[in-house]
Amino acid sequence: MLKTIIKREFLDNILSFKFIACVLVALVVISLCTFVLTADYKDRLENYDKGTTLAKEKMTNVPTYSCLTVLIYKKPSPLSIFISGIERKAGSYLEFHNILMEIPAILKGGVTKNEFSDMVSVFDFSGVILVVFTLLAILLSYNSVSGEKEDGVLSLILSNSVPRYKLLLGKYLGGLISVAVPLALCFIWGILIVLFSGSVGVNRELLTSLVWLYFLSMLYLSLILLLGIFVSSRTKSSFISLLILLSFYLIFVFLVPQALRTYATGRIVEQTKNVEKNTKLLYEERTTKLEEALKKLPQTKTWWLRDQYYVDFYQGRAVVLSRINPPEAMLRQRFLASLRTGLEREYAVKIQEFVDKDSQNKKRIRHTLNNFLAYNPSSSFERTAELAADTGVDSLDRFFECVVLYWHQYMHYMDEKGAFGLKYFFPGPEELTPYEKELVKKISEDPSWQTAKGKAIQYKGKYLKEAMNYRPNIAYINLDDMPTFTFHSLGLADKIGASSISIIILVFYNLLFFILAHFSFNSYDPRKAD
Amino acid sequence: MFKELMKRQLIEDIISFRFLINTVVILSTVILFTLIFIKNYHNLLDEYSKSIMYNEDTLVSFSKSPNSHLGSTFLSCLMKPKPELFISEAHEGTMPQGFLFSPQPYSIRDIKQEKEVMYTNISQRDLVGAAFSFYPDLTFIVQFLLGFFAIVLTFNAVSAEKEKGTLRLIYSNSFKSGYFVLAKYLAAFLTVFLPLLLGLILSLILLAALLPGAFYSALVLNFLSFLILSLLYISIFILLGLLLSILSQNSKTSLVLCLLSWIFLVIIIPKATGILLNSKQFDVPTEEEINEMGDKAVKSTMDRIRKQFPDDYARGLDADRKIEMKLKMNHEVDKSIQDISDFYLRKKLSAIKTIRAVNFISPASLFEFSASSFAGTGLSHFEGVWIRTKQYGSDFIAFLKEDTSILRKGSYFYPADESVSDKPIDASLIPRFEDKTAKPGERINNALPFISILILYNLLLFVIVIYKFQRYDVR
Repeated sequence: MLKTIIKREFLDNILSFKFIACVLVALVVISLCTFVLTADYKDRLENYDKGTTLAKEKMTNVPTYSCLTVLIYKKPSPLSIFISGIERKAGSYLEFHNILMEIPAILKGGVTKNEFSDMVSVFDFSGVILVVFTLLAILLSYNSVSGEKEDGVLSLILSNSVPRYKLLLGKYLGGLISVAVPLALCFIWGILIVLFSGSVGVNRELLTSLVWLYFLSMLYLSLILLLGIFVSSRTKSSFISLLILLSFYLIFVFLVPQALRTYATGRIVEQTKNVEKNTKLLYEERTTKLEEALKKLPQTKTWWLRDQYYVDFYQGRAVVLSRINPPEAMLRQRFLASLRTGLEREYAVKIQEFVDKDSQNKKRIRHTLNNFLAYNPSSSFERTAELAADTGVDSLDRFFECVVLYWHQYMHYMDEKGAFGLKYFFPGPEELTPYEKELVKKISEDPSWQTAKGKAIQYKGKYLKEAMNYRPNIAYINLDDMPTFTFHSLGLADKIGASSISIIILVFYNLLFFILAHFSFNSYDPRKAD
Repeated sequence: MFKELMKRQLIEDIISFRFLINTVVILSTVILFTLIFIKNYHNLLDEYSKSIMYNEDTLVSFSKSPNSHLGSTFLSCLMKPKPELFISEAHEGTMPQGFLFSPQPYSIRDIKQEKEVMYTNISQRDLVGAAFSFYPDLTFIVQFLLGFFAIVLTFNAVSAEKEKGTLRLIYSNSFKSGYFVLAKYLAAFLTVFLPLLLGLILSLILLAALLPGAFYSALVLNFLSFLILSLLYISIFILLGLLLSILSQNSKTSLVLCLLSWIFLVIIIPKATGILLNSKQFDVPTEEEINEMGDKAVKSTMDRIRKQFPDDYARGLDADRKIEMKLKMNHEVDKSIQDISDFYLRKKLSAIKTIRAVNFISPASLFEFSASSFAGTGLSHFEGVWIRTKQYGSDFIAFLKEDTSILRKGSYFYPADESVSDKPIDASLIPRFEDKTAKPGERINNALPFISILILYNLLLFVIVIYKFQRYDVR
């Protein structure tokens, strides 16, 4: 009997005009947005590949540690084609400099070429499910009971010896299947578009995530269906039931989430007002401390070469001292480097603490917001979808946690290698070759600079030409044993764990509405119907 | 006869359950949004005043020793947040917040990234917003809720009477069938107009009470013009509802058609045309590529100018001639870079505008554009700031050049070396950037194309509705 009811419901639904229209709209929108987002993902992947090769290439020709720049690219997730999250808006890479030590807190770059592109948004799967499929579920269920009341069919059906729960279950399952089929169609269609566009690998991980996403969507849509059946069983006319459901749709899909989000953003801006002021103060403090320390440095009279030897590819970024240097300058350099790095590291950590506090604040507000929104089915679904795709703000937060961890690892490595000593500026081995030693000695003993006044003087004597023409063979630093940055996207179990509360709430709503619908349907008496 | 029809319809509409629900929803939304806006507006003003303070600091240190500070002077010319943002935010939060102006090298660049405005938090506005987001303003309420309300009111205006058979009865009376539709239309119009008017008055009162500084008479005028625009927009949806109701045989079909057209016109078209931005036609070079082009332009400009001074350059110039050449070169080099960045900014803007033109199909987009141009927010605000920043730049330079009385050695500009005096100037005399509201005429001019298309749609739909209804044969 149940089968017959389901079949009847299903056939009724899929042959209706509303079903065909909604599914067509969903398919059109999904093909357009998947197409565009796939192209966008390809762009970002290309950018990532280019960036990582560039970063590797840079690592192979680093003459001194001051020239070392570590570039970390964030790998775009293929799931961002389906749930775009924040990935398209956030940048693509960050860098560790040694010249001005800082723990980066924002991503740079990104392939958004047009800075106005944020003005126009692009639909993704969660958008289509929220807008089109929610409406479909509402349209399929709003007259499931009230429509039959009006037509008088209900009395006829009830006159058969069908248990009412079976009838309700049949209606629900019939509706569920009629939503599940087009949704599956949309997912398959999306995957096909991704497959045919090439270059985006569809692997097992992606597929399992998509299946999980499909399951979540169905959980949400079943909730809407049950709500529809419940409202429909409570109301006399299907028109009023539809009106209530549509108001629900407008309020809980669009108005409430958006209003709360805007409010929360305002709160975030308010709460994090002082952070930049504090960090600015810290930067200033660092500069003054450094200047004071520099003043204490002993000033000895020494010489320098006119055109200090720059390594071409780092020109403008870092000065590489020539290997021809007076011993006093070397001492000074060694001292300066140790002083500077100590201070900068200290302040980098201090600033990081501020930024961390700031992000804790932000997280707290976001957390409260999410807790509030978890009770709203549509936002709850949106959030679980974002967690399932791992493309949202949480993913970015996790990325930056990894970055901080890696920064400390990196600094540890640099310490071990003695990178902040003389090697910081001085290229090649510490020991000078006999020829270099002789050259330095010759210049130091040259009377032409010693007669000059001033503390540091530009050397213009007879050995200048020889010193300028000397090009040492610089051995690049071997960085093979440097720790590598690792950032893994969440596994399926983690994803489920992270969104467990939202899922529990969704399941609870499902049960609640089913029970409510069951009771109100049971209490319906056809004889009392007017 | 017409009066009676009208009265019947109006009473039917206003006593209905849908009217009650919609009024409650609209009023509570207006109150909620107004409160949220007031909170956010304080934040925005804080950010803006921060940037003004930063500018003041820069100008004070600049005035102490103008020449040595010329190269490091960056002044931000930002869009000032207005209370009109509540009428229509028009994505102001997600577009560049304004421009950075530097006198030497002369450049005006739009602010693209967070790091460029270290002293503001503006870009965080978008932080918690999902991919699918709206800003809670009045435009959103009218676009979404009132459009929806209009459709819910009219979807069964004719089809229900067909079903019930009352249409036949009415037809049997001897009156012009146009009157019937007109009465339906006007009644629905008044029914939607009431909660809107109430909501606007409520939000005005709230704004006046809670934001006394921002409240001024022009704001009331802006609210009035917004009301008129909203009526134009609502009328389209009422007519659409009537048309679909006439065309379809039963109310169910007409309802589905109405809802789908609402979703299409209000959500999908305005939100989905952003896809076009990714097409090849609107492709613009990346920031690095633009910088490279700038470098190339600099090289060619320098070569060109060197050719103009061929002999002098070879022989070695006298001091005055040297300065003249250097001045000319620097000036033209700056101009060539500026031209390139201006060209691409214009291109990016025109890409957005072309996509907006595609959105003309949707009355919701048209309404949004006209409301924002009328309120002077959004893209038109940005363009206004661009023009004013350019004006400010030339004012700034003119001021410095004019001030030769302080400076013995002529111009401040190029080369900024020892040969030019570095006398302090009075900081209060230096011109300041000010974001002014555009004149009403200008704003109307901006909004005119959108409004005229809205009116056109109205007329077109009206004619079709009357025609279709007259063609309808009861038998």
